[in-house]
Amino acid sequence: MSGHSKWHSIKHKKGAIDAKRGKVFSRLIKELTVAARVGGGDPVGNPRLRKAVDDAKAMNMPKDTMTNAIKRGTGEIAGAAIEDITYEGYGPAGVAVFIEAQTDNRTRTVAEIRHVFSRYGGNLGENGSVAWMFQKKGTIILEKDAVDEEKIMELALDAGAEDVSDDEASW
Amino acid sequence: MRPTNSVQVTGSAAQQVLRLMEALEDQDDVASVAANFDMPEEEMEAAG
Repeated sequence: MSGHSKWHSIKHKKGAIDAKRGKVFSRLIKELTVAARVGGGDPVGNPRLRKAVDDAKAMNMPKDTMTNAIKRGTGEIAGAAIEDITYEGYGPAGVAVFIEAQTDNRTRTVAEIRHVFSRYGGNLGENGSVAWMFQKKGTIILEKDAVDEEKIMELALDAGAEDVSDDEASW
Repeated sequence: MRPTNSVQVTGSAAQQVLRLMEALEDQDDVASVAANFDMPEEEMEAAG
């Protein structure tokens, strides 16, 4: 299966642990803020915000928390300006690493990331050094009994999808 | 983000890569980490 990364399944397990740590919340809040700032505070016209809101709801984030995060993004509530930033580097054995981060302080974030790289035998590279090796891809997961394979294949091919994969209970 | 090619890693290099990935993800500011490594299923299991 092309482009399938086992890391994603590990990340899934880790996700449950992170949730306990409450780290997921602060990440979701940042994403809400940035999404609202980039595309406006209305989820209807802002797919990125809509996705962020869905994710936040899935984690049972209180509505007030969400609203406040969005308002900070649109500027209705004053707060630190959070921005998107990407980092690229190499890990052990020349593995290319691409990091997406959201920060209110680039200087602090770059220092933290450089520190992690050097500690685990990698190094932070120039922007553009590994980005060409990655493509932004989305994944759509469907319940298995909701649709049949032929229909999915047809729609996926029409939409230019790369791969349709078969999981136990989902497509 | 999905890599368009991948690097095979095994043994201690594989463990190192996984530790790096975890440490990066643990950073508060980091939203997502992608890397182009691929490793044998058993080693992934051992680490996970």
